[in-house]
Amino acid sequence: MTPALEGLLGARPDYAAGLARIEVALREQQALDPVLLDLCRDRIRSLLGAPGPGLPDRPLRADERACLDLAEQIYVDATGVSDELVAATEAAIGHDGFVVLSYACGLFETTARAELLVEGSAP
Amino acid sequence: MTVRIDEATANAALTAVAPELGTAVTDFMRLAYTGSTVDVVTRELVRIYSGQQTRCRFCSNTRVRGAVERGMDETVVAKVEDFEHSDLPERQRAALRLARSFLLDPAAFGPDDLTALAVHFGPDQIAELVLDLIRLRPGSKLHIATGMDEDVAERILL
Repeated sequence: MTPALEGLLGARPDYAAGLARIEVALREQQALDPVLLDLCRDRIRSLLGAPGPGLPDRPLRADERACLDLAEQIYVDATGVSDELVAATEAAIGHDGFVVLSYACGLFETTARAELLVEGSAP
Repeated sequence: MTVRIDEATANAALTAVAPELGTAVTDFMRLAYTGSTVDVVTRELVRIYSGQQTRCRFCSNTRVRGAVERGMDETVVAKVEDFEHSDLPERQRAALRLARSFLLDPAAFGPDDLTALAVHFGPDQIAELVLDLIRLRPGSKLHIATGMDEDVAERILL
């Protein structure tokens, strides 16, 4: 989260602290490798035009590709997540990983949207 | 049909696979309504708009009792989709403009937009609305992606 967004959200500190605890819990959960989460976060930020490294400049592993396929579909339209996509994702990262990633993708998106909104509205 | 449910099913799914994350998400929802400074009807209209934009039936069809008791009937809700041309109060339309920018083109939200929003909302209220927008869509997308949105009742009263 950017300092500018932290500053804006700080006007409602208790509520903002709840968001910070989610970010910690997401980092510490055991269902999905945080490296895969970071990869999807970077991809979603890239799709939104937010600053970030984008995709790595190397061939992607099968689990990375599977996570990105889900992340991109959830970003574009979650209603387009097919049974086949769910099955492919769960084959790569398990059901628990699929559930965590499905939530995380939404959070990465909205956090990046908030950053862009705050940055654009700065005087 | 109106039904009542006792828990947000998406959070339950998350808690089942990552308990501490699920607890944190549930706490985030609780904190959203602790010490709230924005009226519940305005927040509900923003939540419903977010649900509509995300194509989440659960979010679009859910009504919070506190907002209903304060006059948010279906006539009011029907104005959300085309709020700009509605007779909703300017304060509510300002909140919905924030939501529209956030969900459609956040980078286009400029200093003049923030100034216009600040006519109706203080810094703590703007923070609350932005936190709502950060909070709402992830739950919607989890609900949809995990298939829980396929058999949603026409109306859900919380």
